[in-house]
Amino acid sequence: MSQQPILDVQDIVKYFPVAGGLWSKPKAWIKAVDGISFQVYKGESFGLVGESGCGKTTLGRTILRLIEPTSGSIKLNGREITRLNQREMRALRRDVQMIFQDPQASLDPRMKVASIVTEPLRAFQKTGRQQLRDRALNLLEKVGLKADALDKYPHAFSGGERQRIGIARALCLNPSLIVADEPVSALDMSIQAQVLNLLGDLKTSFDFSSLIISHDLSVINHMCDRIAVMYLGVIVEMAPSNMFGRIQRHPYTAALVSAVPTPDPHKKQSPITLEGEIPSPVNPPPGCLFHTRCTYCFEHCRVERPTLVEIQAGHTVACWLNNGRGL
Amino acid sequence: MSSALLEIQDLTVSFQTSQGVRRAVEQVSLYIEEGETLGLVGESGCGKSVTALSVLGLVDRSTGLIESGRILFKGKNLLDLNTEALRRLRGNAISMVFQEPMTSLNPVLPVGRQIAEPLMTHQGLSKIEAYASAMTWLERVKIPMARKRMQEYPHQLSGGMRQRVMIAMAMVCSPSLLMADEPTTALDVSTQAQILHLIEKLKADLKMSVLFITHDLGIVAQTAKRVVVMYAGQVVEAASVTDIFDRPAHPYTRGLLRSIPRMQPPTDVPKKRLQEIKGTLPSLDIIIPGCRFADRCPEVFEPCRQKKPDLSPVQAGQQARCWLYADGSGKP
Amino acid sequence: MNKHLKNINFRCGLVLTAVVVLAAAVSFFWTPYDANRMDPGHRLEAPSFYHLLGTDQYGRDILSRVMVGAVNSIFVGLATVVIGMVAGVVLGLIAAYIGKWADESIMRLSDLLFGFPAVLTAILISAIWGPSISNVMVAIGIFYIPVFTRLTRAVALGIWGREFIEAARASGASEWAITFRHVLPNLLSPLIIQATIQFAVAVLAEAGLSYLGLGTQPPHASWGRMLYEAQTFMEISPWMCIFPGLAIAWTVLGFNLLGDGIRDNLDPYML
Ligand SMILES: Nc1ncnc2c1ncn2[C@@H]1O[C@H](COP(=O)(O)OP(=O)(O)O)[C@@H](O)[C@H]1O
Ligand SMILES: Nc1ncnc2c1ncn2[C@@H]1O[C@H](COP(=O)(O)OP(=O)(O)O)[C@@H](O)[C@H]1O
Ligand SMILES: [Mg+2]
Ligand SMILES: [Mg+2]
Repeated sequence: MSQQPILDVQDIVKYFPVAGGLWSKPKAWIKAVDGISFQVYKGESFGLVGESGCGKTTLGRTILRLIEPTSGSIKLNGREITRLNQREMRALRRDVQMIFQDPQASLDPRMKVASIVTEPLRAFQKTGRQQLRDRALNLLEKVGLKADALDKYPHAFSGGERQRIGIARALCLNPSLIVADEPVSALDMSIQAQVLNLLGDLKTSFDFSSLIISHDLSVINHMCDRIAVMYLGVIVEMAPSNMFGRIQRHPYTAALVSAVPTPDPHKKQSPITLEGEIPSPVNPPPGCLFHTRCTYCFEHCRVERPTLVEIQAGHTVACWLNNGRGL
Repeated sequence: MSSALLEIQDLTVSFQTSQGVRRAVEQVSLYIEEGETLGLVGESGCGKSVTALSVLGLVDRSTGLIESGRILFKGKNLLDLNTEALRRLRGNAISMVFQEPMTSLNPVLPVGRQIAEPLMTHQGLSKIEAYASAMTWLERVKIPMARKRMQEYPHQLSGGMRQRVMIAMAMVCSPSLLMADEPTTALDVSTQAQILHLIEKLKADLKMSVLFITHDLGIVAQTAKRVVVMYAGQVVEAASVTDIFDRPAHPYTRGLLRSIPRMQPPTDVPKKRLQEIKGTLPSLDIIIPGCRFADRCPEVFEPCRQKKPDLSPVQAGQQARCWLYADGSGKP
Repeated sequence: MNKHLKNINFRCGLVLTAVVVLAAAVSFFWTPYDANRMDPGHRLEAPSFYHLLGTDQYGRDILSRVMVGAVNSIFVGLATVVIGMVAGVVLGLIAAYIGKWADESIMRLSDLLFGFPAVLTAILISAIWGPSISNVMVAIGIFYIPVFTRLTRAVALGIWGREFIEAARASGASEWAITFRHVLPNLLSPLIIQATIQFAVAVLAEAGLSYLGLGTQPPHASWGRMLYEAQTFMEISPWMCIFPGLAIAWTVLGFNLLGDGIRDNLDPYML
């Protein structure tokens, strides 16, 4: 890991208004992302994992400024981007691209593949027709699609192939950071492995850093070097992935890991069952956000929200239990 | 297999589509014994739901056709029953839980009423008795404040809660067979764990059999006693859960097991690369002369592309639809 | 066979409209008789070998007049749809893209226009500028603006919310590029469908207004005008009203079927 992070996120907050009447002020706020900080270093794969509704997508889109953050700072290659105007921001998009969850929805059904994959290129420089086609061809080859795909429309492809098209588009300008929001969640089992391998291979050949978002712990664990676990808009634990499969210090992470069914009939699991449901992000509990479902909860947890504390090199946990002790 | 509660023999179902006739399910055979959980596993579109829907006669009448086969439930062929007899069976002796509870619950009726309904129609309970029973069921599926929830509508409940309501509805008449069609696919892992636990517990309490349909090999390993693997409309392998995971016979099953990312990868697999199955799923609209997996199979040889393989025994209790085992020796 | 042609609506619509367009095109070069030439010797003649559809009270050949009337109808249809569509698409896109006050004011304005009866607009316009075919076109065209504005706005809002727009934005595409490369192409199919239907409505409206004497002025041939003139002779020479009436019904049906057919065909999976 080098010194300067590619992406440096500090205290990002995103609240969505709950619409009141047509003309009135919002009644309340959905606290989708509530103070998140992390860094992604060069060459690294950083994973964000958490259950649906915990704010992963909102965070990912905020980092690309597809959504405006309520507050906080985002530095891309050392440059603060939250205050850039639309034109300046657009110029910056060369360097950071996105892969979307739904390969069907994220490709324009009325555009041919050749135009789709070269869209980033056309956005930034005047390029001749032949050059565009050459680039498209080159990209398709890189993601394992045949040349005859160029002049077809997205509907002619299977889900896995469409995701390859989406990946080719993201790679078009050799970005230094790729944000992938659930890149394999919509794919079939036997196709998931292909796309995961492809992303791994491309990462080596194109040399980008990535921020991978997924609800699937095994996917994140497989793909990422470091992992952050989110709950209700905050990060509760952050650790390198090799540590992640074994030691978890946050009760939520421990429950999450134990709930993933192991594909091994000889290891019968007894998951740590969490009581109740995730509280609403409109009315998050005071103190530690997880205290309403935590079996270890004590007095202090109800009062003050814990911050991320480093308990080991590269391993941080936001839990009052871990200020010195462990689970 | 006289002890089988449900036995499907050579079921073939096709649909009329704009592209022509689509064989969604071809010669599917499986059985479920009393009190056991059978895992039916396969990728989306491989025919799992159609197989389950055929049991209850719920395959879309206008386009779907059960071409052949028998579905024996307690020895009686369900395909011979008329609609009225089938209706009496549904939600009574055989019930089903679907992936997306929102589409199978009635949005304009309170959930209490929906749970009580089958009791009144199938068991002739009075309204008061049925509602009382419905409420105990809501408590049994661990819905907090059951009395209040009785009056609520499906949209007022969370996804996990709705799935609990669906399960309560499926359970009220104490079915002898529960068909759970991807009941946790739309849920988060922690909610999934709760629902799996609930189904497991109810199964033990009511001594029923469960057909658990899923695409998640982890769930299969954790819940099923025997497993049937489907691929492109066919059963490709059937075996006990330990054989499937320890000695998978069909190249597809083997490939699948190697291709899934694991929390703790087995030591022989380098972490950063999965062993993928090449190629894409075949279209069901094209008739393939040989094995449907041949194009993606690493072990393909001459007969595979010429003739359809049958389910051949591999060892006691294990069968695979693969030419490797066609000589009956059980060895590739 | 072409996939589109499999659709029965599309096929029928295409045949019906093709006949009308062909008749109009041919009439530029050739009609059986001069459409406006009076022939007192052959007044109110029933259909015969010489006059396939008969003659009117001045002895003019009805087939020729129906053919020339087709030009008139097509012209009105085209012009009104173009006026309505161009203005409507621009306004609709502005409303959808800017939102807030722009959306509010554009939508209220189009409500106002929409609430105003077309016939009344036409009467008003003819009262001010005098009755003429161009005024009819302007009147109907204005009436079409809110139709296309609403459609464009509704569809564009939907498209702007789709994920591929966000993907384009994340790729670095400018808002102009997004509008022209993604929004407009996806708008095209609903617009074409609407256009064919409005075309049919315009043919009907022009006929109605000409019938009222507000549209095409004599001696020019217009189906509505022909119907109006025919009513006095209904009993003695019914062919005078049957054939223009049939032409109107034929055209309206043709364009409606075409619209339905396109709608069925424009499932993106059939491109
Ligand atoms: N555009 C929006 N307007 C209002 N609320 C939103 C919007 N997008 C997301 N949310 C809310 O923010 C929370 C986090 O959502 P999301 O980021 O999509 O979670 P995840 O991707 O982890 O499933 C959810 O409660 C969701 O309802
Ligand atoms: N009503 C229907 N009409 C046409 N095809 C259908 C219909 N229902 C299912 N199919 C087809 O049958 C195949 C199997 O579907 P299904 O049993 O739902 O798969 P899954 O294993 O995901 O549950 C799919 O290819 C699907 O397209
Ligand atoms: Mg998300
Ligand atoms: Mg299914």
